[in-house]
Amino acid sequence: MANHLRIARSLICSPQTATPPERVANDRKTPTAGSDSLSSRAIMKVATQTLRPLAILALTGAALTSHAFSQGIQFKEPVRISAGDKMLGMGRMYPSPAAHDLNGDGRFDIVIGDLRGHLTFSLQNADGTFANEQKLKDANGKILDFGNW
Amino acid sequence: MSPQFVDFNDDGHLDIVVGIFDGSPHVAFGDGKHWQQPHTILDKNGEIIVLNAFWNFEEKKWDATDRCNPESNMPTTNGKPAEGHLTSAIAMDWDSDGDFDLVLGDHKSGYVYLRRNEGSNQKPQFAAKNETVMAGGKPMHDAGTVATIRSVDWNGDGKLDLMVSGMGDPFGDATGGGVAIYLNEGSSFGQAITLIEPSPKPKVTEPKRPDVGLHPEAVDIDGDGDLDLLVGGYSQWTPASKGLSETEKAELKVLRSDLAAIQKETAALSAIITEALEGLEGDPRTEKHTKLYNAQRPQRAKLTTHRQKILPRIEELAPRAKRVSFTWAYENITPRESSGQR
Repeated sequence: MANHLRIARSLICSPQTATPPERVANDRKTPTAGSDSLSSRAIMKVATQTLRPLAILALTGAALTSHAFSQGIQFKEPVRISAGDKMLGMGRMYPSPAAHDLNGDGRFDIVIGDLRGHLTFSLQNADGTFANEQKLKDANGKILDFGNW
Repeated sequence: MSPQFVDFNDDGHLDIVVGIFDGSPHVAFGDGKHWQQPHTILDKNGEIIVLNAFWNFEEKKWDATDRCNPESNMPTTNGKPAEGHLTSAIAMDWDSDGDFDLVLGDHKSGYVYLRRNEGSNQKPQFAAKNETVMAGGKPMHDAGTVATIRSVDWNGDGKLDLMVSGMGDPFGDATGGGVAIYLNEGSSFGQAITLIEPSPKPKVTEPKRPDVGLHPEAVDIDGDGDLDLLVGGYSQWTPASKGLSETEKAELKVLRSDLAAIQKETAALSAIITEALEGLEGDPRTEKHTKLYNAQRPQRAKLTTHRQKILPRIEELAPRAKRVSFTWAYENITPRESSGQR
């Protein structure tokens, strides 16, 4: 279990607050293409809503310098992520993670979809670890179910 | 099914857009507190948005159609139009007209398609035809077939790039899945740049990485200002077996023989039922099946108990190959000058 992820982060987080997943003001300006037919502005807004505040830094490039791109992208050896006392997504059919701040505490949580069409979420704790997975439900307490075939 | 959180209907609340295994995109609308049960996203004619293969809800069977095939740049397989099965979808304002179009991932042949929105986010009018997404002048393609797609500004140039991941050979020894990024060059996408190499599935004794069915998400996990990856997928490995003593070898031989006998006996019981049901249909078949199965229950229970007793010991002596899904974190350690991220 030693190599299971425990994310050390210096982010100062606000206390947990109630649910609303969308906090960022919506400026629905129509993106302008300029010479680019594949503009990203609309989704950039989504991304900043979804992955704030860490991803905002990456997406806006604040305080970082522009450099030429090369293909030498390097990652550390991957580590499995724990959620509570289990492995995140373990045993799910084709787990697919999405980072999203579900409870508006400034930390991204992880939502996992799977081939069966079910969604779970794991809230990120202040120390960067993740809590046990819970099923994502609708307003009536029913499991959100995309698997209707 | 890769969830994407996006305000799809422009009501100020995040919705969840996914492509699912039935072959079509769906959306669960949010109200700020919860999400409703999902709806199928339809095109402007009220038709389901598909590639080719889809689950026919009316006839309750797998079906296929070519009504949505692209009118140009149709990918081919052995000279014939490539068969597609949508299992992933993301919303993305492709043409900068202020509404979300759909980008669709093909799990069957490995291509990526666009479904343009000719309406608005409040009143979407999705085109009736798919368009082939091109990269480097050719149809964007993952040889391992597409597990999922993500839009992310990887290099921080203000334009969304496409991250595409592969399924790979799901059960065999052939190459597994990987992850590639296609940089948005303004009017088109560049060639694939590998983020995670397709897994060669090396013989390992513990899980080392996701090998099959990779589903990535780009996010700055450690807060260092660059994008890392969360990746779901199956890992394959075979635990190391300890050196067996002669006694243990003999024990294993007996246990395997016992297991084979159990399997043979179980198959024989099933064959008795199959033979007895021949020619029967409907209720009489169901009733006969239930009666025969109930009569076999004591025997089956005995076999199950025996199997459950010996399997752990067999596993202990000679561990079998494993295939288990996890979620992994890949920390980006690319030096800033070569990361492509600004």
